[in-house]
Amino acid sequence: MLSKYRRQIRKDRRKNDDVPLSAFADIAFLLIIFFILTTTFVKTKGMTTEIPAGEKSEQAEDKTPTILLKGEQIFFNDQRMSNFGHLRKELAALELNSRTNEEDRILLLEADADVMYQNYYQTMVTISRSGGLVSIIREEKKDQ
Amino acid sequence: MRHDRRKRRQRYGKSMQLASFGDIAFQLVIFFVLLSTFAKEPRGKLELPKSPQLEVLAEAEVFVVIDDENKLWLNQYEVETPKEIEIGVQALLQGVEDPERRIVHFKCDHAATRNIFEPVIDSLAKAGALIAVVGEEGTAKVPSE
Repeated sequence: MLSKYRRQIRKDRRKNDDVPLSAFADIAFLLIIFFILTTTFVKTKGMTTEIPAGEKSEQAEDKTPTILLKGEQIFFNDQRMSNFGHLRKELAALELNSRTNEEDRILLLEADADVMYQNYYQTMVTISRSGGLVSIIREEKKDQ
Repeated sequence: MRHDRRKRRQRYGKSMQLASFGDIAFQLVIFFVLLSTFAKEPRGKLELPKSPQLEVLAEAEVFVVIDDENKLWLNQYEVETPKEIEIGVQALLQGVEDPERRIVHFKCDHAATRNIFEPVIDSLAKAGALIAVVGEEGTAKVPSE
């Protein structure tokens, strides 16, 4: 018969204190699958605008709808707009999308020197969404 | 007796197959190699303008950026004047007929003023690029929607 001491040693040897290392591989795979499923790729958002590069005749400019940005204020054909929603409604009334001739879809965009790109950007987006083509009034023309 | 010895061996922990760690490491490397794309865009710091009505843009090969220090970038190169942007974009788009490939992503800091960004937009239009103005979805503070 074994002594108590020897029995204790045998019991200690039977205890398995090792960490099951095979579980680490499972954890690694679970983490990989988690990140694969939750990762989303950054998508660039914006608006494609059509800006004609040619020179426009002065006659056509008189008839073309004009948007003027002065600081934080927006003017459409000399009428002050309360916000971009108001501008969108005015542009929607022009039904630019239904016009087949490209020249009829042109809108002149004029801005003061202190206008921030944020407002200019929103104006371009609003014009593009309503089906218009943005034509920028350059400074040289203003001096004339 | 032999039966007891086999039982005792089975009670001890089994050894780990360490060779599989190498496989896991290679799989991770291949995964990231396949997913990685080299950054073509300039790295200037800027805050994009916001608009609630935006669409996902098609991929572009040409990027023009005006950062928060009003520096001009064409792809990864800093340029001095809008005229250089016009010449550079014209050269990059030379021979490209497909309109989808003539797209140029234009990014500008939201606080840049007209005298900075307007000449750049003008030069992109003169170069014959299809300008995609990049922004973020959201609502700007003033004027309100």
